[in-house]
Amino acid sequence: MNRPLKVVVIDDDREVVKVTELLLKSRGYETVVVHGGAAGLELVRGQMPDVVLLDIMMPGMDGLEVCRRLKSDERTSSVPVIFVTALDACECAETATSVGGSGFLTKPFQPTELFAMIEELGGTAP
Amino acid sequence: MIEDNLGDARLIREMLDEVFGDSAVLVHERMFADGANRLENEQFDVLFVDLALPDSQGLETLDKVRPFAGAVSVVVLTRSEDEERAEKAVSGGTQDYLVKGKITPAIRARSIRYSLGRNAAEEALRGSEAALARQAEELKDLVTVAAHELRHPATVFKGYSYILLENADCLDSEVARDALLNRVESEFKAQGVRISTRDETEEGAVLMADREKLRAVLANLVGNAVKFSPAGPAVDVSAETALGEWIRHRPRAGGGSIFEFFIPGSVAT
Repeated sequence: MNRPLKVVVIDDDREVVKVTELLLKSRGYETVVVHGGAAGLELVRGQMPDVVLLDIMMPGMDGLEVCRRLKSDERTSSVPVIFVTALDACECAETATSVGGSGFLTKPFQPTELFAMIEELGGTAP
Repeated sequence: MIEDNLGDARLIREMLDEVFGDSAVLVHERMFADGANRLENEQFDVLFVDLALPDSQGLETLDKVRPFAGAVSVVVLTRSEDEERAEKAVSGGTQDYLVKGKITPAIRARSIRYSLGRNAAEEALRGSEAALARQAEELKDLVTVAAHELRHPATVFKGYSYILLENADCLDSEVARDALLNRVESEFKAQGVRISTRDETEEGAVLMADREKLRAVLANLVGNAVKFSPAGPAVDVSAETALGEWIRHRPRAGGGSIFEFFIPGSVAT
């Protein structure tokens, strides 16, 4: 029996989080959202999702640091991280990869592109 | 310095030493041709030039110097009887002149002022360059922030548009006519508005919209039309298919306003 993909969304912009949550739920994913880096880190450790959507520019712990910590913790190092950022793609894609990010999307993203990336990285859950 | 009189040359050299010390390097030529040759091949900051040289005199020297006046500051060395001419030379592109035989403490003071003024100008230039660089940096930051601020609402719009399109009801023209025209007509007639509706949609037209929200939007538009109609509460509402169009402007004969909005849909072929 297939269980739905579980996605954690970490972004400080509440409107973006809200619409992303609606999009993911409309696609049938189990979705958990959180509005800050440090809280996001804890949530991922607790939820062990299939994919993490991570904003880069956040007050406090930024997305790059969250990703670094997820990747250095053996419990969470295999969880794929997709950076979803309003920053310029060419400036950040390299940095995102260097901290262990698996994907990179620039806001405003195409929902279909987001789904494709999540499904490619999250795989079909057993 | 292009100067054939060695005594005058020594005075200039001493003056430079006094004002600039080791920070100024003086290159000295006695013939104009040699000086011009160096000017063409090397870089200088200031040119001291005597107007009366063995191979070039007076106005002729001034004319020959003029092409260099953009690249170096030109200070004309002249005799007292030529002072008027030197004044003209200054207005003609050279920066300063020194009258020979008058290189006295007063002249030294002026030269020092000149050098100080020049330094101040350079300082100001450096300052304005820094300010310009700072402004460019600030502008870049502003653009980044503006782009960042625009990308968030764009994400929200794009996301909701997707959700709306994916989840919209499909209303065929019968349903649409009922949902939009008939209901709005009865609603506003009850309020005493003279309203006439007309359905000119093509056969088989299908709208992608939420029925209740669409009705609310139309009620809003009609409400506005009533409010802003100069001729009193009389409103025409018509529905038509406008394939491939998203925005349209139609001036209305005899004034008044036309409120138009477009609903995504399709026409069965």
